[in-house]
Order: sequence, then structure tokens, then C-alpha cells
Amino acid sequence: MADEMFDVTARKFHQWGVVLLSALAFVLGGAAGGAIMLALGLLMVVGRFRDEADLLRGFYRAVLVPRGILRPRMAVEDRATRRIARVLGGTVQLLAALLLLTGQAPGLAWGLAGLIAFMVVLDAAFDFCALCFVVHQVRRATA
Amino acid sequence: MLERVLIVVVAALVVGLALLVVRSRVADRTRARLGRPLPEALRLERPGLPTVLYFYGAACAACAQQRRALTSLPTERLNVVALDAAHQTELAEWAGVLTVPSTAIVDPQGRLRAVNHGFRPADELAAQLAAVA
Repeated sequence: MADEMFDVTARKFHQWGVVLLSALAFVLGGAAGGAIMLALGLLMVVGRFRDEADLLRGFYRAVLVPRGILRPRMAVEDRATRRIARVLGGTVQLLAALLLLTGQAPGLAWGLAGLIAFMVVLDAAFDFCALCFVVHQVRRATA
Repeated sequence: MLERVLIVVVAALVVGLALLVVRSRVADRTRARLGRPLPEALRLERPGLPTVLYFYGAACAACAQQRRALTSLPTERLNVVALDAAHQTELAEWAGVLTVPSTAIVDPQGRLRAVNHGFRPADELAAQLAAVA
């Protein structure tokens, strides 16, 4: 069975978008920051199951590609891990948003949001799965 | 707000620099391993042919996809050895495995020629194998 091809440019645009929006949320702080984190978390989790909910990919497809600003690059990629990581990351972002919007433990909330942003940067910049690395190192240490 | 912008800029610079250093160290670490002979404990089914060592792990979503990519290679002209990275620690250490899935390319003389950390599609593996055959 031939492996499915995926648009690497779309994936990277989405990932850098998540990182930039997380940074914007931190800069704005307060309720505005919490609202952006909430939107990001929903975009990550709901967009995993409903393509039309992923506004970043929608913008990429509707604006950036037709105008020639970005070009699709198709390749065989590890989609399964990224789908799991997306749901996990989005859930953590929703938790961070909840903490921010209720005004509880903003330090913890930004720490969680920063951790997810860092893991996304690793994949966007180096195609490196931080979650796989951690799981392997834990398993090796406990084997 | 300016304070927060500065924090983001400094954090981005620090993380970017740290990632470049780590990446360079990983590349050095891999380079230092290239040319090493396969440990004698590993008996190949068909000596004298190129070999792919495929390191997998439990709870690894990408490993099934990597396995599929490997089965699409011409397996009659190479050795494919699947190894549990957490249990075959000697071989994983020999190849410098950092994560799963990982693949190590070994030439027909039994020397390590390339290590891939993470999933690699079949065409990329085929090109690496063609370069060592």
C-alpha cells in the first residue's frame, strides 16, 4: 500500500502560526491572552477532527496558495504521531486558557503554553518529534 | 507590554541558539559513529548486502508507518532487522538512537553509514541504500 502524501508547507505554516499566536497571547496577557489561547486550543483539537475548523489551514488554502505566497510541497510524512500530538497539545492549551481566564496560576498557564510552543517549534524547524523522544527515553530508563 | 515583548524576543533567541547547538552536537555524535563495524553479536540473514536496522518502540504511532515504508523496499536485495530500541540497548547505543522510529543504514561490508532519527519515507531510505550498495 502506497503511503499517503501530505502538504508539508501547510503543516509548517500551521505550526508557525500556532507559535506566533501563542507569543501574541503572552504579549497581550490577561483576558485577551486567555481568549487567544482558548481559540488556539479549540483550533488544535477541533481542527484535528473537522478540517473546516482549522482556520490557519483555511487561510493557507484560501489566500496564501492561490496568491502564490506559499507553494504546497507534497511528501510522505508521519501523520499518525502528529495527530496524537495535536490533540494532546490542544488539550494542554485549553487547560492553560482555563487557568488564564479564571485568573488562577498564570505562571503555570504560560509555562504550559510555552512548553507546547517549544515542542511545535522543534517539529516545525527540525521535523523532530519531542514527544517520541521523551517516550523513548522514559522507556529506555525503565526497561 | 514592552516587557513581555522583550521576554518573547529573548526567549526566541535563547531557544533558537540552544536548538542550533543541540542540532550540531547530534550531527557530530552521529558523524563520530559512522564507519563503525556492526557488533558481532548481530548475525545477518544475508551477509554482503546492505542492511537497514529499524529501531521501534511501544506506544509509537509512527513505527507502523516506518514498517510499511520498509516493506516497500526491495527486501530480497537487503537485510532489514527490526529491533526494540528499549531492549536492544547495545545496538541502539552503537547506532546512537535518540528516538523511535530510527533507522540505521549499514553498507555491505557491515559498517554504519547513516542514522535517521525519526520517520523516513521509503524513497529516502532507498536513496541512502543505493549510495552504499
